[in-house]
Amino acid sequence: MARILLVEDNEMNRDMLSRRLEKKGYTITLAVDGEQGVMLAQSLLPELILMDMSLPIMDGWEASRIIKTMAQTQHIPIIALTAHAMAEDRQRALEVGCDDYDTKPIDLLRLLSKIQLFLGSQEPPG
Amino acid sequence: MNHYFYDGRSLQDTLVTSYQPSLVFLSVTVACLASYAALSVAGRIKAAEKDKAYGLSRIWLLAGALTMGAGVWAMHFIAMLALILPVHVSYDVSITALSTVPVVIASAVMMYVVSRPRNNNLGLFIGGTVMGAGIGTMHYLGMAAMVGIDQNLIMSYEPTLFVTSVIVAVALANLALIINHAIERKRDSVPLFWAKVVPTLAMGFAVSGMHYTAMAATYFFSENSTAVTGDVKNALNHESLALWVSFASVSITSLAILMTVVDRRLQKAAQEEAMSRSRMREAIESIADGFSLFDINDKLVECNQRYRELMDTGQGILIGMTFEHIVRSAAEAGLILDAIGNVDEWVAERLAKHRAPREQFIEQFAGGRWIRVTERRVWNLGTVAIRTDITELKDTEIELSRAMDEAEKARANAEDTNRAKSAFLANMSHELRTPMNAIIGYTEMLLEDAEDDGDPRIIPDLQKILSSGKHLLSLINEILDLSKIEAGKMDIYLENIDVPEVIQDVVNTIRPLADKNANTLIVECPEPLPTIHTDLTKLRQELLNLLSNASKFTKNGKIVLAVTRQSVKEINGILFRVTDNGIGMSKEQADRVFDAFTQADSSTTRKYGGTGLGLTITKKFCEMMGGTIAVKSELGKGSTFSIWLPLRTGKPLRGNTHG
Repeated sequence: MARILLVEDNEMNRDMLSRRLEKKGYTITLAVDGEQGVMLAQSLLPELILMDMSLPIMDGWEASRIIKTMAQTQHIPIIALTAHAMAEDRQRALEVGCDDYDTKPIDLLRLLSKIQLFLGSQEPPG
Repeated sequence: MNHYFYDGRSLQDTLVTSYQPSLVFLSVTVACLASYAALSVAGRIKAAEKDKAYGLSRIWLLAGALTMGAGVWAMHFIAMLALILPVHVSYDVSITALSTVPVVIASAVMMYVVSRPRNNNLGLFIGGTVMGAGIGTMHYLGMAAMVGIDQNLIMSYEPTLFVTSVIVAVALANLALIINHAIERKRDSVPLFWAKVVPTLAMGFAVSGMHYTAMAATYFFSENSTAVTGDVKNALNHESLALWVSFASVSITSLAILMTVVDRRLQKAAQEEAMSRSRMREAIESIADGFSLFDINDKLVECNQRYRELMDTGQGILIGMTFEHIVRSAAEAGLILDAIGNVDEWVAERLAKHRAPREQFIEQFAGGRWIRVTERRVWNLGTVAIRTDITELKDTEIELSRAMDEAEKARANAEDTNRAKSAFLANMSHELRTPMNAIIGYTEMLLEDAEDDGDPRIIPDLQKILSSGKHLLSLINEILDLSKIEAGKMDIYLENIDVPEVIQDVVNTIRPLADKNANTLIVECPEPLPTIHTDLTKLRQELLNLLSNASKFTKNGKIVLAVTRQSVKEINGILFRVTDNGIGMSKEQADRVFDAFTQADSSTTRKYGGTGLGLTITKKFCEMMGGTIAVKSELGKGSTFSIWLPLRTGKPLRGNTHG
């Protein structure tokens, strides 16, 4: 079962997205800010990271940049989660090394298809 | 020759005398001409002394004295030529010459007196009396020069008439001077002709009147004698006397004519000067501005009433006052606001400005008056200054600038308000969206649970919550977009876009909505299209807006999305045309279709939903990307919306360009 690190400060979004992804068969680890996200990425080495961009302590762009510069974590795909119509946010996300982005509110089907793209068919959602 | 006062000889022995009238007339004329010349010369002396040309004045004085003296002398001897005596007479040369001396001196005294700028009665009296005495002396000396040639000539004088003759000379000479003086004092009110003629005649009659009165006092007697014939050598006969007298007369007449001409010229010049001066004064007075002229020593030469009104502190503005005195007085009296409290400093600065005037400046006067001062140095003349009251102009200017300030403040306020409104909308939208996302997200979860293993009866209700939530979210997003556009914070990101790919994506998204109203969605994309360099998100949103509108307002109809290449004003671009055969719009509705918050009518919102912002946002997006949007519609028949975008977007109208 693939492990996904979800970095999200909003409690409801965190709860909602983690429960829906768990239902699809993924193992979810939660982080509430960028700093925690970087630490968990290093210690757990998840298969994929879903990174919200507006985070307290350390924002998503900075956290992504660090993860992508560290040797042990730079291979981990990061999908940036940005607000609707914030094209600039998406652009910046790609610039710091994020592999893809998806806009909030989350369209679960669309997000799942992106996740599957990175994790391959060996981990089909259950 | 013997002179006696009348000694009681028998008057029957008196020689019979008569006069040749034409020569009498000539003698009076010569006397008058000489008087005229002398009085005119006195005027010249005055003028020369006024100009401080003392050398010239002395020459004039000498010329005048000689003329008058010669005049009196010539008058006397012309009169003597006019006298017909039964005895041949000649004149003793030395006495004849000597006779001119007292009268020339007396004339010099008179000329001196007459040419004084100010005269008192005593001065005039002395002048007149000396002149009268001079005339008398001349006469009796001249008479003494007379000798009989073939007979001894005896003259005796009747005392009363003798005295009378002297009185006539003194009185008329006095009268002439008094009249001349009186006329000079009232030169303006006396006609020029009489001003010249009256004193001239008085003086002329003083000379001739004296002579003929004296002649009336004279009794001639003859005695046969040969004793005097030895003097003939030193005597003037009638012919040579006539020659001398003619010479003197011609000289006097010439001088008189010359004086007349000179005088008339001078008079004319003076008149013209006075005229031009008075014209100048009138002109200066007539300007509405304050005028002042200072000479090279900075003394006031000329100014008008307006200047006095401006600068007078109550002590009066007088010709000859210095510039510094005038401005200092004004400053000290508090007339000039800038100078209050620092008079010395201000005056120093003002003087510097006055000495080297460059550009006009404005002074604020007490009583809220603004005066524009223009000063000019005029070479060799001094400084000309014009003071213009620009209070009205200044008041208008102040009012205008106040109004502009207020307008600027109002504009800034409006801008602040607008910015605050946009910020508020952006924040509110964000705050609204977070719970909306939660509502939508949890509803979807519940739906999934219900579909998997829950109660299928609640599925329709959950679906209603979901669709309402999504609708509300889309409204919030549109409001956010518009507020960002209006705040100038909507950025555009340009990238190369494959048009068919975008169209496929948009059609896939919209197809469910089109299907809902049983519409046929047709895409016409007949030619290979070039890539377009534009903002992908906004292009998608524009097309989705048009297609969703077409889907909403059309039932069982046909919706066509046609994409073609099209150049507008020689710029290559792509035209996206969405045509439906739905409810359409009236012309009035179509005209307002891109305005914010307007739908065809308020019932539209109830029936079809939407914010009325979709087309407004679409239009703004088009403009930001350098494109245009247009609509053609007919009520009941359908609408066609066309978007044209350039292949390459230049500088956007608002917002920042990236990529």
